[in-house]
Amino acid sequence: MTNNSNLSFSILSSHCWVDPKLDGSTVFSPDFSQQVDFDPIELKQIPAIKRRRLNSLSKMALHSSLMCLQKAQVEPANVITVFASQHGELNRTVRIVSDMVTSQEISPKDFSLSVHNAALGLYSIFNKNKQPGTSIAANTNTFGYGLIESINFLKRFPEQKVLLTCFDLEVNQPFAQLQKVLNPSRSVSLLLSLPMQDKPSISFNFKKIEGIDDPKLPLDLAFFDFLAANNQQQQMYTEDTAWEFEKHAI
Amino acid sequence: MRPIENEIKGVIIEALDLEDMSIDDIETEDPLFGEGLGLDSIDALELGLALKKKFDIKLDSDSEESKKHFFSVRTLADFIEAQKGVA
Repeated sequence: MTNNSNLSFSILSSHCWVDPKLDGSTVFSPDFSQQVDFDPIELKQIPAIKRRRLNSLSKMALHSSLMCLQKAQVEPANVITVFASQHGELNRTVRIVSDMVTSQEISPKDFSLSVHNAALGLYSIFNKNKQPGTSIAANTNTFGYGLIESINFLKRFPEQKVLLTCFDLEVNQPFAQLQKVLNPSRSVSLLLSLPMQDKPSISFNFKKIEGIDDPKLPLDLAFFDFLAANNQQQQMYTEDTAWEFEKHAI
Repeated sequence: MRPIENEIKGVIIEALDLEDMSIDDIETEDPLFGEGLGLDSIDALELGLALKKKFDIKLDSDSEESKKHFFSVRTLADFIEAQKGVA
C-alpha cells in the first residue's frame, strides 16, 4: 500500500543533538557532522530547581526542542507539540521493575516520571504551553508517524506551527541484547508548518515492504542526514516500511 | 551545628538532584517545603525514602507528626536522633 495523499510540510527550523560518543563518519553525509550538536547538554534555559526533575532522556528532548524554537524565535508556549520516542522511559521502567524484583523500595520520582508522555508533560509545564500535544511511539517508524501526526495537527490548525521532537536513549541491558541495531542517544527537533510559498517544502510517501536488511540509521537521523545533504530525493527504510522524501525549492 | 544536620543536607542535595546547591546553601531552620527550599510532595516522598535508607529509620508517611518532622533540617535531625536513641 502506498500513501501519496499530499503529505507535505515546510521546516521553519531544526536542531539535532547526538551523543558525542557516536562515530558516524562512515554512515552520514559529509555535511551531517557540521550541522549536528554534539556538545554536552546544559539546558540553562530551565532553572536548576526545575531541571533536577529531568533525566537524560527528558533533557535531550527539551534541549533540542528549545534550541530549535530559539533559532526560529518562536515562543515555546505557542506551538503544538508532537513528542515521538520509540522506547520512551524504558531504562527508568527497567530500574523500577528491577527494584521491585529485589524488594527495594521504588523511587517516587522514577515512578511519577515513568510514563511515555513524561517529557512532553515537563515541556508543557516548564514552558506554560497549553496547546494540544501528542506523545507517540511506533516502533522503528516512530519518526515517520510523528510526522504524520504533525501534519494531522497542521491540517486541523493551519495557522499554527508544530514542534516535532523525536528522541530516544540508547537502550540499556537487559533489552539491549534484543535490539537488532543499538542506536545512539539522540534528539531531533523540527518546527513545522504547512507548505509555505516563501520556503522550501518537503513531501513524502511511504509503503509497507518486506525483506529489508536492518537499516544503519534510525529514521530520524536518516531524515536529518537527508536535510543536511544536497540530494533532492531519498528513500529510507525501516524494518517494514519504505519512506520516500522529496525536497521542493521555492 | 550537629554533624547529623550536615549529613541530612547532603542527603537532600543528592536524593533530590539539587545540582547547583551546596550544604551551605540550605538553612538548618528554614522550611524545606513551600516558601523555604521550595520542595514539593514528590520531593517529600523521595527524601523520606533516602532518609530511611541512610539512617535506617521508620517513617509513617500519612501522619501529621511526619509533616512536623519534615519541616526543616533541624526537626528532621531531632526526629532521627530520637529514633536512634541519641540523648
